[in-house]
Amino acid sequence: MSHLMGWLCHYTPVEILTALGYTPYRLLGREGNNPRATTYLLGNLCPYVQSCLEAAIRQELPPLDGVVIARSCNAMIHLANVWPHYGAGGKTIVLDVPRRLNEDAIFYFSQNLRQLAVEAALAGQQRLDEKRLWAAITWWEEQRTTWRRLLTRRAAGEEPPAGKEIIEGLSRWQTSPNLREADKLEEVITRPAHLLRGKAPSQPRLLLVGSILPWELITMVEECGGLSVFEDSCNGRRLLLNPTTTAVGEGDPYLYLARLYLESPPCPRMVSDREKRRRYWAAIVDQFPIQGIIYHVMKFCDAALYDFLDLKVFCEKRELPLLRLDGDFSGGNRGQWQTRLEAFLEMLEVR
Amino acid sequence: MSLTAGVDVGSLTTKAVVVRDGRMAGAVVLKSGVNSAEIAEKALQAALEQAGAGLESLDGIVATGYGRIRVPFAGRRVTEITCHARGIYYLWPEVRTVIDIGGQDSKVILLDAGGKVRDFVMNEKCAAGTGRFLEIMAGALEVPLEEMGTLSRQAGQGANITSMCTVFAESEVVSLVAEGRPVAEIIRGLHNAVAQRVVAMAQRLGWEEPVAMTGGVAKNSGVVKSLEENLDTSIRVPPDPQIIGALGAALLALR
Ligand code: SF4
Repeated sequence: MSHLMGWLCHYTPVEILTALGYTPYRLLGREGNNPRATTYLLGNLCPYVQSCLEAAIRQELPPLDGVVIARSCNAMIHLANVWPHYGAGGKTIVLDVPRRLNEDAIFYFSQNLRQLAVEAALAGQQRLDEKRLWAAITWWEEQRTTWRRLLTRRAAGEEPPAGKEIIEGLSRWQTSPNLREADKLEEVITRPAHLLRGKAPSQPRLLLVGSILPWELITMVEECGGLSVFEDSCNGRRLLLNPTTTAVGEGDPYLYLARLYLESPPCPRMVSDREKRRRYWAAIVDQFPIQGIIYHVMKFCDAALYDFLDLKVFCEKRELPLLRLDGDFSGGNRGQWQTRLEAFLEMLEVR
Repeated sequence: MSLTAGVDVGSLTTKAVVVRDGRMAGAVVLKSGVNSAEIAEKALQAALEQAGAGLESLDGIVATGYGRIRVPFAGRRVTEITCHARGIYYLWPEVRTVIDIGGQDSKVILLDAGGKVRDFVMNEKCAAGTGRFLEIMAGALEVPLEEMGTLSRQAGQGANITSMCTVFAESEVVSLVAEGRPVAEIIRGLHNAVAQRVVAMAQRLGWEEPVAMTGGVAKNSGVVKSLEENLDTSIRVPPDPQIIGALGAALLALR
């Protein structure tokens, strides 16, 4: 029976967990209201964070040895405070993630990762062997490469797998308890590749942006006639990081990981990385012929709100249509979104 | 000859418009009910009757409004945003901003020179700033909804309504009545509150002149006046602002 270690924020280096013998298990929240979580967390706190706690209280999670909570935003800090008392049991490991990118930040993060390896070690386990860590790094990188290759095909003229299938596949990839079994891996990663359907479709090509994108939104976008060709979110493309120029197997693996994660496409919380984020959007728009952008603002997420304002300016300069949809991650936003989405797609069609 | 129809199923009223050779030939407004399909059909039949035509002679039907998916006989479904834009463009092609306040939601729509939707914004899922808000307040004040406009124009000033939440605003209204504040001033305060809410949406969108208003609430001259004061511009209101969505739908059915 594999040991499962929960994690939430995509700045959590799963390589360390794998090297320690765990199967990393992403907490992706649940649909519905969070009445029990709001007993312990304020009602006006990120609904995704609330729903993760709700799932734990309702014992809907598989047995976890613990959970790594990255201190990525205010909501996560609150979650880290209450999890040891009301969460799923096991260890609660808090990982501090810098909000800016420079050599000091990389060094600081690498030290935190070293500490994470110590805190997460299984009972009686020796200091984490660097060879094992490099092996885990290689293993994860191979998988990410496969995913990246598949997602890049959405840039080409072929009809890509639907966004819904991609997000479904990525979710399974992050939550499969048997991920290390080769056949499972094959099934999870390569299945969406079989869904490539030949020539390019005529639906409007959309970029979906947000902190964490609800499955409900991607499904609706595609039901209404749009095509999600890029999901800039921590459960979408951001999860796949970017390959680094640093060689694998040389030097300090913690420094390597710190660089890999911090230098990858930034999340809205990386406040000092605005220019990098703009360049990232520009590259997506050009490479994936984007015709319209939908921004999902998670209720009460300040990081997303500021990010949206920046994207708005970006879209105005490029004359790209932008739609903002606010959601509470409950799975019950359909009524609120339907007309907005349809009107947005009608707007794109007549262009 | 071409004959098309548009049916707009809103939360409070259902509208049908028949257009013959690009000109309006029939228009009907009915109260919405539980059975949207039945009311929509009734409205369409009545509009066709006015036009002196039968269902079989229609070249196309477009359904719009929040109940558009429940109109089984429609050939196409188009959102009310696109339909209101089309309807106003038909009446006044120079209009660049449309404010539509209906029973259940309010929207601000920006048009380009060709009448196409450039951008839009809709209110949150909340009754504040909608026809429903005014209906509830009319109930609390025991004033017929249709008289609110005339009454508010008699007030020299508006009472200050601090909450836009329908539930809180209602209790504020009750307190103001208890304090003996004249009803006309309370209504004017309510109209200002609705207008401020919609103006905030318009500003977020970067509204441009000329401005037109559609939807049932445009029949309330008090709200129109408050909007004009807050935007510092004059607002064009079509003779029957409620049917503009259905008119736009009928025109879109021509394609
Ligand atoms: S969605 Fe926003 S508030 Fe929620 S965890 Fe992410 S950054 Fe934090």
